[in-house]
Amino acid sequence: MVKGFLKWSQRLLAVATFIYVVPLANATASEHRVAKFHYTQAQYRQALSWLAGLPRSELQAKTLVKLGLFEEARVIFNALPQQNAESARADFWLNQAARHFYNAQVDQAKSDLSRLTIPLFPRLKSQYYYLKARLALLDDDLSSFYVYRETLQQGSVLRHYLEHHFIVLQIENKRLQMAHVDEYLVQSSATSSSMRALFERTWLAIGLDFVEQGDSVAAIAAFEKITLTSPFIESALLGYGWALNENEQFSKAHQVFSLLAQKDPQFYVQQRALRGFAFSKERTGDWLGANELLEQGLVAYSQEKIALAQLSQRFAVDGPCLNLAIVAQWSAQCHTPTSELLTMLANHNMVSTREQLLELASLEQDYREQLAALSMHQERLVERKQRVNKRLNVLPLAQVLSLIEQLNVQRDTLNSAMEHAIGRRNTHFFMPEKYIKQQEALDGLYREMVLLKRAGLGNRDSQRRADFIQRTIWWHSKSNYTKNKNSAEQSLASLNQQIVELGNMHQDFVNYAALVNDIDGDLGAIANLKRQLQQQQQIASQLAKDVTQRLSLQFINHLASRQHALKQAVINTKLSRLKLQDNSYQKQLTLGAVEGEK
Amino acid sequence: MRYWVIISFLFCAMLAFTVQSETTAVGETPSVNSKIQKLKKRAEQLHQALTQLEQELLFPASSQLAVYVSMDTTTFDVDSIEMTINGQRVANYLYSQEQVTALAEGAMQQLYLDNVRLGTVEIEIVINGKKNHNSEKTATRYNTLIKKRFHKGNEALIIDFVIDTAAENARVVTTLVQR
Repeated sequence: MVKGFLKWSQRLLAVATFIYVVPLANATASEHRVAKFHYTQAQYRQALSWLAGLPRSELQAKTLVKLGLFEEARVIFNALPQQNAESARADFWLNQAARHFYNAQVDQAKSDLSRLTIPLFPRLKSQYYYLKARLALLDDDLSSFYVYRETLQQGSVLRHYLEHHFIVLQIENKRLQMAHVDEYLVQSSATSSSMRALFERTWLAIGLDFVEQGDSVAAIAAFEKITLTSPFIESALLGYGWALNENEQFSKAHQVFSLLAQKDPQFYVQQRALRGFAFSKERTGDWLGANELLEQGLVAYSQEKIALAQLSQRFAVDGPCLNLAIVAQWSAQCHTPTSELLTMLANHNMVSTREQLLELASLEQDYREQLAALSMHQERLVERKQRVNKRLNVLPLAQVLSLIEQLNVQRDTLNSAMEHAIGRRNTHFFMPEKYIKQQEALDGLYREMVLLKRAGLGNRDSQRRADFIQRTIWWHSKSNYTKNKNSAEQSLASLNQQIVELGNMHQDFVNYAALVNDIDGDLGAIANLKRQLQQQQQIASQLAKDVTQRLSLQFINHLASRQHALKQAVINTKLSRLKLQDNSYQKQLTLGAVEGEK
Repeated sequence: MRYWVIISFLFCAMLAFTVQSETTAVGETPSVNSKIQKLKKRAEQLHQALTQLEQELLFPASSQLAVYVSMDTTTFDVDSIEMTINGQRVANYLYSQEQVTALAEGAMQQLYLDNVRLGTVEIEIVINGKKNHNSEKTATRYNTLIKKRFHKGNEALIIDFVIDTAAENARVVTTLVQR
């Protein structure tokens, strides 16, 4: 018995599943398929709207990634079964690792990489090992770094970048040796202009490090690898000139500084270039030229000081230069020769702050659009509500309802009277109006005749004629009974029909009233959405304000540091001028003494 | 001389500082990033609520008619679809290769969504495309018209237009069916 019951319950469950779950599954599948179409058209928002409420899927996670909702995507990828969406999941974790790595969130980057399952998809291998090698470099784990580096193809772009970062790390840790440089020399063969630029950037760093180490020969060798068309040529010429000065090749150094002055007419504002050039001039015997150069520099510094102060104002909140920097545009008014803003703008923090501000601006635009759409719907609904209310006011509902009730009572009375007449075969009841009036007139005649008879004025002839008329009426009522009855029944049906129509009209009005209620509900929902959007807009706006202020502060602090460096440069240049004058004075004194002795 | 060399060291150190690696940049904005993520998430939720509200306001079930296109075949490349409702042309769609691929991979397109009156709705669809014969590496141009009547009641009328190929005689089969 129990088994039988279980069998039945299973069958019932199967039927219920078929009835409810199968259509639901079909509907879900359709929505998922429509979302997929939107996804392929890069309409990610629409795709997400279709996916809302559906079970978690790879498509949902991928859509969230496209919309920049990484945390949500992370939750879904974690929740999906391991065997599902393997390729998309691998792409996601690798991209997340790269995103975290470049945002300097090293631990998170490591955690993301650890989620990738081995063996890797071939297309992800190089990127994966590149990130692993970079993380190993950050940890100063050189043995792991060498292992990961070997997995990258020799001569590939990623391998070149890795070599560059390896050299930079050695420089930072003050461990750069000739062996590293020799090894790098073997690797650095340019395959494209971007790779050429990368090599030159590395050689510049190597050259500057050797100048710092005091190895001017090695520094000169490094600088000589940088071509005249390099984007780093000015820094390279400066370093090269100083290395030559240090190596006492003053004449060559003078040529290099002259080239630098040619390439950058503002060079004298840069104290390093100015003083290097002056030093080489002095050493080649051009004392006057050196002095003139330093004097020019001091004039330029005083102008630069004013320019830096003005620039600082332009980078205040709502300043024109700050706004341009946010949208990554540049103007000649937004930098000075010593501001070094281009270096600052290329800084990763600056780039990510700019991205944040752009994202917030896009969010604010989004809120504005959504609020505009809501206002439009609100206006339409208010207009619709007014229209419906107007119609409702023209015919008062209560009056229509009371009229219907009265008609119903009358109809019921008539109906019961008809049934009563049919039961008693009361043919007179169904007579047409004309005969009823005749009957009424005849009844009046009979009453008069009775009165006359009582007064002794009876008239037999009249009595006979009245009886004849009465018989005629009776004859009409009996012979046309069926026709009369049908006609009465039709009238009753018509009355019924009219009552139904009135009822429908009333129902329409009730529906209108309900519509007003629905509109009120929708208006409430719109008001609620508007309120939430406005709240979000305020939060986004405040956040944008905070980030902008922070960005402005970064610029202002940077410019303040530049002003301080300028102050220092003025002092150093004045000292150099003093030294130069002192040397010259000493020289003249010596010459004077020699001539005196002669 | 020594004085100049010391100065040179100093400026070189400063130059080296400017050629810094990107990895030394310290990310000090995760909190802002997470705030932006939260805002974006909330914005998406609000957008979904707005879309739903718009759908209910603009296309209420009592008057809604929606037509969806899907393909159950990979050997047909749809070029264009024209649709008329009660004799009036309402949709004309040209497909890109990406869209055809998406349809072949199971995606479904919402071709039409609007309001119609209650009663009979006559839908007519003209489809242009080509049927690929994989074995022969040839293709046959295909152009056909499908017409069907539906009754629009108080519920939303949802129509699926399905394109399929009958394997046995290499014909293209199109169906219009109420969901």
